[in-house]
Amino acid sequence: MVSPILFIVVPLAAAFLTVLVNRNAGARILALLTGFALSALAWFWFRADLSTPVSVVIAGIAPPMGIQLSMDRLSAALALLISVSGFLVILYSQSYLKSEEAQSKHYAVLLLLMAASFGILLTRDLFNLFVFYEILCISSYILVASEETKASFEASLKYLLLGSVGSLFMLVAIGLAYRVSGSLAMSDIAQALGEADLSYVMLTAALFVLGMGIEAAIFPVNTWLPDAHSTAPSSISAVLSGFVIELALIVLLRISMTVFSSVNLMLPLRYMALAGILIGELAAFGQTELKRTLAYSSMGQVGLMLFALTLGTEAGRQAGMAHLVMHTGAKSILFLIAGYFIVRTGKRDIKSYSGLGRRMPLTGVFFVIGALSLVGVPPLFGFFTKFKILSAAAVSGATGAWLGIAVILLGTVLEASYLFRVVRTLYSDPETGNTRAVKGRMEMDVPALIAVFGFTLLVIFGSFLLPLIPSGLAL
Amino acid sequence: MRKLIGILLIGGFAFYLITVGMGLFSAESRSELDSVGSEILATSPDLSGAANTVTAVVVQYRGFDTLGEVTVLFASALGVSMLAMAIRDGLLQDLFDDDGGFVLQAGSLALLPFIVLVGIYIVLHGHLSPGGGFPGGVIIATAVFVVILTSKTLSIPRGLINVLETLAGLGFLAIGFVGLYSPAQSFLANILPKGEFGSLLSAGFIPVIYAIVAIKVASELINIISKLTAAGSASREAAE
Repeated sequence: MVSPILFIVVPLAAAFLTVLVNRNAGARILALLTGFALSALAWFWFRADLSTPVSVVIAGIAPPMGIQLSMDRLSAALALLISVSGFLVILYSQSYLKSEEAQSKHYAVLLLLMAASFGILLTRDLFNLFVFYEILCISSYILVASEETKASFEASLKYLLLGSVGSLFMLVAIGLAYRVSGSLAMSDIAQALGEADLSYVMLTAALFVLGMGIEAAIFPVNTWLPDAHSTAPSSISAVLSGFVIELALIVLLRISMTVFSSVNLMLPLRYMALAGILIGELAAFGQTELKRTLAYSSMGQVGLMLFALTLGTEAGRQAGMAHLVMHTGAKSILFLIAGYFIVRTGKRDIKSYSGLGRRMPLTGVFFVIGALSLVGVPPLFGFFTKFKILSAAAVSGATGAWLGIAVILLGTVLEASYLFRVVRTLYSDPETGNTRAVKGRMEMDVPALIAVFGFTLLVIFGSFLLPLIPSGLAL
Repeated sequence: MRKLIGILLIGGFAFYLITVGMGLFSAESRSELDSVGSEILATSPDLSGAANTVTAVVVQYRGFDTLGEVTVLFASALGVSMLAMAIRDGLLQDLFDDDGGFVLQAGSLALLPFIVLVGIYIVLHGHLSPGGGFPGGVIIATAVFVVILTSKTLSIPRGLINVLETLAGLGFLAIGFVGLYSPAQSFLANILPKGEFGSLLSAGFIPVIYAIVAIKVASELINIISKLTAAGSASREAAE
């Protein structure tokens, strides 16, 4: 029997083992094999019949006393997304990470991050969710700081402070929920909170949403994101922007819609989403560094997904999920390539990249495709997802839907202008000659090229996946 | 950023005061008998065989959370050892620069076996009395820390400790797998014989898991200490 528990145990075991491997090559191969095994496992579950979710209990003790995990269609699809993009990022890291560094610990923490991601996706126990959330946060802090520059330490510390406050909020919310339900299983808590006093549920829900919302980078608590995602190594930026914030967002929404279903969280979340789009895109427009631009753009894109998912209609949820998959592909491409721009030129600001598109032809093409899809140019995946979001908003009749459409269109214009500015720089004549000064091969190394090519395939052919993307946010 | 955290903290505290002071947001609490606690108290002796119910909850009912907590510690230790080398400003210099003198050095070495013995006792009796793998592991690490504080001559077999740490982690997972592929078909199922209730050899896999947790906790903490010592001596050399 292939148990869903393997999603958590396999990367954990690999992480424990990786620390022991002293040679970089060994650690790299172990991480790569783990990524591949997880992808195969996720493919098995994605193809499996999950019309009724498959549940497993830990230690043979059923809830409410024990812990239960559950694999449904949404979890299987997200698990596939996480494991495949994790695998591609590990592949990219083979050539991206500096060879003189000790890489085994880096891969170990990355595998822990993946284990925790699967954990928060599968668990149906609120305290177990908290434990995996902590692992996710701690491994993110470490990875953000792992370049050991002053800026990355500062970003990591900022992230750590906000994240710790967030975990405390979550812990208090879990305590409040346990007080009325006497159980930690999500389904029991949902039932008990349904009968509880409305103001009590509101308090619990607000604490939970703010706590979890920090990891999901929802508008008022996303101030850590630009620093953390821009100073982390680019492989890690791709992971954090590619699936970690999206995953937290989905888990947050699933719990809001099931456990806290007696209060209407959708309306406030929708306005928070719109504020996130506006602020993220406006701030991205004003940046001069490529990675900071991309980080702020992630802030806006999360708002876009949150807006679609909180419209309250089936079409809205489908559009939001599809956009999530698209964003994983597109943002990973852009961050992974930005990493090589920095490696090749040693500079972070966009204007130093003039002419790079000609010196790195393949890389340049991939970058343009990623950028076009993010903006939403047909026939790429991003066009279909954005179009679906707009049409879902137009027919939803939800409060603020038309305001949302206006904000999304404005955001798209801003997005197009700052991304095309980057593209134009890439293909302009190098003025100062700073790229000519770099000797040697400019194109990305082969593993990195293959990884970026994988994400590019997703972005080009993603629209064929649309019918396969599930949208049911049930427990 | 600093303002935001300040506002969050002050806001939270004000909210707490209002809630407590005015009795707002009160909700019917489940009675003691209605919650999961009473079920656990009733089933624990049969299900786990552990005389200490807290241990039964930590290792068996919520053993998966404990695996997670061990991982949290593992991640933190990894983070410290990755980042400790970046400490260059002599932050730890004072701590490790002092030579404690002969009395303290000899005394700490004489204490070492006894502290380790207490640690092992606490680990092995985790299913009978308060204690267990986490505090026991910390006590064992403390024994080494005391020696390091008084003298800088102690050489730590780092390779051996790394191997122990990995084996402990894999051992925890292996016990989980034994449960998964046993007739119980459940990860971390307690399938070992329960023994006589209240005796040292009882409670099935609980003492085994606690021993594994203790090895992992102790080796991780010793690792952190040795990394910080190395960083301390590196910063001392840099200062010289």
